[in-house]
Amino acid sequence: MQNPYEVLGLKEGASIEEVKRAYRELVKKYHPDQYADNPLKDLAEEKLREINDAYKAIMDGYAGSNNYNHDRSYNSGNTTYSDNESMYYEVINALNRNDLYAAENILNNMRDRSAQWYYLYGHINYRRGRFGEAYNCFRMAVNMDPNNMEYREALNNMEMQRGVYQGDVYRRTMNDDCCQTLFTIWACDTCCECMGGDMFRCF
Amino acid sequence: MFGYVKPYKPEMKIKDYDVFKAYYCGLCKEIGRRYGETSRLTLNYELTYLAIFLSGLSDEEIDIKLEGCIANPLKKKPVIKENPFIMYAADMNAILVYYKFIDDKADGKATASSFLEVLFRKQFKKSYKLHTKKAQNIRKHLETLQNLEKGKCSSVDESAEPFANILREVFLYENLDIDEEDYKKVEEIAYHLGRYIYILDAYNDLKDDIKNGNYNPFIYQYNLIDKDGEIELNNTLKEIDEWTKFNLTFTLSTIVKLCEQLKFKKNIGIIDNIFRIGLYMEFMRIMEGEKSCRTHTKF
Repeated sequence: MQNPYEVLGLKEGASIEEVKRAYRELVKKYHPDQYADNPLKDLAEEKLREINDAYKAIMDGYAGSNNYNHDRSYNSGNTTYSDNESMYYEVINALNRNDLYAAENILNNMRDRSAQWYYLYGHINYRRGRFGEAYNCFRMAVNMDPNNMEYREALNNMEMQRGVYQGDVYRRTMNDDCCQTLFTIWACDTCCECMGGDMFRCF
Repeated sequence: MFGYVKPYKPEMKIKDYDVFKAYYCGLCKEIGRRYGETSRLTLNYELTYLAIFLSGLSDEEIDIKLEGCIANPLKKKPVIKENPFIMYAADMNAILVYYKFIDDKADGKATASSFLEVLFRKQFKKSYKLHTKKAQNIRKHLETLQNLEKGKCSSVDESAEPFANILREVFLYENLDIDEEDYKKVEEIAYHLGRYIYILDAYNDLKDDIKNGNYNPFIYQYNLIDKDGEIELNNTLKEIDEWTKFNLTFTLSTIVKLCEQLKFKKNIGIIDNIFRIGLYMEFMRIMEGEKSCRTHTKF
C-alpha cells in the first residue's frame, strides 16, 4: 500500500487537523458530482477510493493500533477525535460508495444533529431525488453554520440550477410578450394617428 | 391525478401542434379500437405524452391520415395510425385507469368508482395479459402508496415516490433502439415527471382534502393540525408555496438536464415545449389562480 500521507499530499507525521483539511479538500476536488458527464469520471472515482483508504488508514493509526488496519472499532476508547466525527466520516465513506442506506442508518442513530448532520442528510435526500427535503436540509445547515462554505455551496448549487431553468422559461415566454406589448402600442398609435390623434409622439 | 402534462400552446409551433393533435386523436381512436368506445372517455394528456416521448426516441415513420371523429364527424383531422407507441400507450391507459378506480374505491372517495371498476375490468384484463409483469409492478407501487397514506406519511417527497416509480414503469418501453445508459436516463426522467405530477396534484387538492378530511402529505409535513384537531392553513400557505415552487422547478430543471443528454429523432419541439415551458406554466397557473394564462387550459 502507498504511504497514506503521500496520497493526501502531506509529510509523514502531519497533525490530525492537517490530515482532515487535506482530506476534505481532496474529496471536494474528486467528488463524482464534479465529473458527472466527464470522461475522467472513472479516474476520479479511483482517486477518491485511494484518498478514502489513505484517510482511513491514518485515522485508524491515530485511533490506537499503529498498523494500517481497516477493522477499526468505534469503542476503542482512546480515540483522539470525537465519536461524532468518526460517524460523519463513516457517512461520507458510505456516500462515496453510494450506499445511501448505510449512510442514512448512521445518521438516524445519531442524537446530536449539528449543521454537518443536516448537510450530509441533505446529500442523501438529494441522491434519492427528494429535492424538497434536500433543500430544507441544506438551508438548515447554512442557518446553523453560516460561515461554512461547503454548506453554502450545496445550497447555492441547487438555487442556481433552479434559477437557470426559471430564467430559461421567462426568456422563452416573456420576450414575446414584450414584443407583443410594443406591437400593440404601435398598432394603437397608428390607428389613433389615422384619426387625427397621437398616443405616443415617438412612433 | 392526471391532466397536468400538456404543452403551452401560445409558444407552440403550428406544425408541432398538429402533430400533438394527431397523436392525441390517434391514441383516442386506438383506445376505442382496442378497448371499446366507452374507454375513449378515459383518454388523458399524460398517456398522449408517453406516446410522443417514446416515439421521439425511435426511427419509425409515422403515418398520418385525415379522418373524421365521433366528436366532430364533419371536420377531418390528422390522426396517426398503426403506431406501436400509441398502441402501447393505449394498453398502459387501460391498466392505469382501472387501478385508479380501485384506488378511489379504497379511499372511499367516489361511490361511482365501484361501478366504473366493474365496467373497466374487462379492458384491464386484456392489457394485463399483454403486460403482466408491468401491471404487477404498478400494483405493488400502488400498495406502497396506500400504505404511506394510511401511515400518514409526513414527507411530501417520500409520499411522491411510489407514483414516481409507477411512471418509471410506464415509460419503460422495452423495444427502443437505445443503449442502457439512455434507458437509465429515460427511467430517471419518468421518475421525476411522476414526482412532479404527484406533488402538484397533492398541492392542488390540499384545500379540498382539508375540507373533506382526506389524507394529504402537506398537512403532515407542515403540522397543520392543531391541538383541537382543527386545520389552519393560511399562516403556512406562503411557506408551502415557496417550498413547492422550489421543489417543482428544481425537479423540472433536472428533467431538462437529463433530456439534453438524449438524442431525440423527432417530436423535439413538443417535448421541449412541455418540459421547458408547459409543465412550469401549469403549476404557476395552479398556484396563482386560473387567470394567469387562460390560453393554456383549453385544447
